[in-house]
Parts: sequence; structure tokens; C-alpha cells
Amino acid sequence: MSTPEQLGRQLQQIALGNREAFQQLYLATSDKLFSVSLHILRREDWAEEALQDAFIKVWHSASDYSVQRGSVMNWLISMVRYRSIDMLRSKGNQTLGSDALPDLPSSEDDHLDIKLSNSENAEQLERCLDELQPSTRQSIQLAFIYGLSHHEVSAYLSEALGTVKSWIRRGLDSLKGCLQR
Amino acid sequence: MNYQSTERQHQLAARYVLGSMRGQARAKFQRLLMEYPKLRDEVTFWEQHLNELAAQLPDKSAPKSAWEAIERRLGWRRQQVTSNRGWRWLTATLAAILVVVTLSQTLLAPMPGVPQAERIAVIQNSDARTLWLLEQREQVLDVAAVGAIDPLANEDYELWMLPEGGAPPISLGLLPQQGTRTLNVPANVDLQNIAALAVSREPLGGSPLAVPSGPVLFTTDFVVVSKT
Repeated sequence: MSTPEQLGRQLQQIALGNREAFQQLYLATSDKLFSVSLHILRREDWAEEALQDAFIKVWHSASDYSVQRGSVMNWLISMVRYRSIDMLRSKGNQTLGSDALPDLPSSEDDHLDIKLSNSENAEQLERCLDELQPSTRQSIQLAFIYGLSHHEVSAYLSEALGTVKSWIRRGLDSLKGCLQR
Repeated sequence: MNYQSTERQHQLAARYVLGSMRGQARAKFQRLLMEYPKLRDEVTFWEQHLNELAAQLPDKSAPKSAWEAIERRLGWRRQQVTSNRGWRWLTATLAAILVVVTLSQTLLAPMPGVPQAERIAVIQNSDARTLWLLEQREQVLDVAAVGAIDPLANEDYELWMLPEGGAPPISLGLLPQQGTRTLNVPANVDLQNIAALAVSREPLGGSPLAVPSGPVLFTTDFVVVSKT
């Protein structure tokens, strides 16, 4: 895994048209980004398409990156996630019932609580997520990691749509308050 | 809607990054991001924190084909058509072309009294549905798209001639996806010297290489039509 500094240098080189740097960046990040996309799209062919689209955009818009946008990895994750979410819609966006989500961990277990520990931001996020009600935390994680809509989260957790919406809305408010402390 | 309200911006940005904002609302928000720098800052705030959740997901090996496809889509990858494997494949398809030639001779028998082109070609898909008709008039090719063509939004179909003797393909121009088009063939290209015609799918404007950069989809050949 490349360090954030290496990724930053590679991105600078890509902005100058350096193909070798582009391939290095791809090799260093594509397995993580493919996983991110696959969690949302749940089909390998779609996830591959999203990965391709995102990297082609990276090649053309490397010079748009600035450190104000967060780390390079953070920027890449956004690129892949947004492309994957857009594809959910363009690929038909069929509403998934709870029975159509075989790959998700059972709604009863705690498996969704991914342990965050690598960076300062991650530690802070973990602490703030822990302050939320479990159902609120789970709703936010389902939406973010698996790209579930409010409807899908509601079906998955067997909770009323209005309840899920209000959990997520209030959960994001609390999260922001905590993250800014 | 008041996008200047801090509270509103915070909720919209959070829902955008979370992914729960969908469809037209999402597209509209992406436009607003360009207009309101404050919104951009809110989005960055959420990305910096929430993306940590994605960063912790276990890696999953990306398919090898992904990198190859990226290189091809950027026009960097030399197309396999120039490799031995590609050429062997093309040779194999020449047998299939004979069937098309026979068929097109039947379909396009000259009508009495109508001036005929010297040579014609019919490009068909694997279901023998006709996609394009070509007529050669000296160094000019008149092309008509006749339907059943899969529309390409951001790509073009490009026509190639494969010279006799195995020389690399020569581009004859882009094929229309509907209607007709006249392709002017450079004087130094000898249209009599054609072993086969091929159609590839290419980036808009055609292959960035001297040879096809995208997949070869169809092949065919000219048929000499006796003049009346």
C-alpha cells in the first residue's frame, strides 16, 4: 500500500500526463476501490465498469485535486462511490426488498460495525458513531457502505420509512455535532 | 429552496455524501455544488469523515480486464487486431464473409435500367440483419445506415479496409448511425486491393491509432455488380 505522500506525488505526475504514475496509482488503490464499488453495486461487472469510469475521470481531472479536498485516497473513494451510486440509478435502480440482499450481514448481528482505527479521522468517526443509537448507526452504515436508499434500509430493518428517515436525519445532525467537537 | 441556509446545506451535503440522495435531486445537487462554495465545503467535511468507513472495507482484487479496458478506452492499448491472434480470427471470419457475399448478390441483383454502382458491400450482424449498405463510385463510398444498428451515444462505428497481402488495416472513415454519408477515400488508397472490410467500435471521432483501437464487430467484402 502506498503512503498518502506517494499517492499525492503520483497524482501530481498524472496531472502532467505521466502514464506510469497512473498505472502505479491504479495498482495501489484499485483493489480497495473495487471493493467499495462492489459493496454498492453487488455485481462484479457493474463494479468493474464503475472502476473504469472513475479512473478515466482521474486521468482527465487529476489537476482538479487539491489537498483541501482531503487525502488522495479520500478523493478517489468519492469518485468511485459517486459513480457507483449514479450507476445504481442508470442500471435500473430496482428497489431491493430485504430478501434481495443476500450479501448483507443479518440485521441482528453487529457485523456492520467496522472497526476504524487507522487515522485520526477514523478514530474520531468511530467514537462519534459509537455515541449514536445502534439502529441509527446501522441505518447510516447501510446507506453509506451498501448504497441503500431510505426505502431499502426501511425494508431491510423492517422499520417504517418515516422512522428510518428521521433516524438518519437526526443521526447525521448528532454526528456532525460530535465530529466538530 | 433556500440553499444559503447553513442547516439546509448541512443536511443536503450529508445526504449527498451518504448516497441517500438519488435521481434528479442528486443531479441538481451536483450542479449546485458548482454555484455554492459553502456547499462544496460541507461535502468535503462529510467526505473526509464518512469515507473512512469505505477505506476500512477489505480489499477485493479488481479484475485484470479492468486495467486493460481503461488503457483501451484512453486509446493507449495497441489493439489485438494487429496481433497474430487477431489476424487469425479475421482469417477465420473470411469464410463466413463468403456467405454474406452470396446473400448480398441475391439481395442486390441489378435492376434493369437503373445505373449501378461498380461495387457494393453489405454489412450485417451475426443474425444476418443488414446494418449498412455501401456503394463504391471510384474513390467515393456512399454509405446508408439501414436500421438494426445499436445506437452508440459516445462512440462511433469506424470502417476499415483490410488490404490484400495482410498489410495493416486502413481507415475509410466513420459510418453514419442513421441516414446516409459519403466517404471520400484518399487517392493513394487502392480500393481494388481489398481482402475484406471491417467495422470497429471506437471513441468519438474514430480510433486514435492507425489501426482499430476498439473491438472489430463486423466484417464483409465488396461484391462486383455487373453494370446494365
